[in-house]
Amino acid sequence: MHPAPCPARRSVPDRTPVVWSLWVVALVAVGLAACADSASTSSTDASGSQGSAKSCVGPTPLAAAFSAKPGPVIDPATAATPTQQAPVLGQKAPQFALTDQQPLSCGYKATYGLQTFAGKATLVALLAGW
Amino acid sequence: MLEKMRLELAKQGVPVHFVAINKRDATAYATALTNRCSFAVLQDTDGVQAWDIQMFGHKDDFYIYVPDGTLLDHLPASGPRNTNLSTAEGYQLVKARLVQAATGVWAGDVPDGGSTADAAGRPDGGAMDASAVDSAADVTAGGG
Repeated sequence: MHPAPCPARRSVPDRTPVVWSLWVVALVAVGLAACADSASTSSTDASGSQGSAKSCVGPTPLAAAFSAKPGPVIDPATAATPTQQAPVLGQKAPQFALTDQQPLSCGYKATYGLQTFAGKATLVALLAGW
Repeated sequence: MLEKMRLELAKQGVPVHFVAINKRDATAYATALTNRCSFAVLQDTDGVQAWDIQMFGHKDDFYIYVPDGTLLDHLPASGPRNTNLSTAEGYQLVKARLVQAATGVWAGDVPDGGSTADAAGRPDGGAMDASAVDSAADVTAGGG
């Protein structure tokens, strides 16, 4: 008994490039979806405000703050000695504006004050960078 | 440590802001702060003198404001209460006070020191809320 002879190989069009292309497209799509999800999560964690799409931290100051100067400026020559010597509980936060140096902050390079943080409890720390 | 606290509170869903005011003669060192946290760092200036004239404070003082912008507590670094964030007690006090400012609920059991009054009202003998207090092992050294 001799095995039946193999049938002649049919000429099949080479689909390898198409298959590879589909794989690449699928992988790119999955990667983009994962990145988008990751970015969304990290911005939520960073800002602490859920559902926010922003990728910076803290409140965004008014547009005018980005061209404002620090103030009010005290003139040491004419400034009277303040009668108040300690913060008063229950009092509103003082009105002043300083420039934000934090690149991760939504107010980076803007000049604004503590009123910008109203709406949420706020911790203010007096720190020295040295 | 403040950044750690901020992330913990964010994870717990406690709505709070953090902001640092860098000393006016430490301008050149602002990056030392910005590199260690992600919240706003406002730079004090010779002209404004926010530390001295506006806040009446000193280095490492903390101020806790309630959402309407009024001062709930001033925690001076040199005061009777321990606010050293490198210690479990200090860390818990600051964090609990901040949670109270955000939620109106006292979540700590730390002596008041008698220097302040509670704007939000603190129930006597308030029980420790485990979700708002970290274990001492979770507190690592390092300021700011």
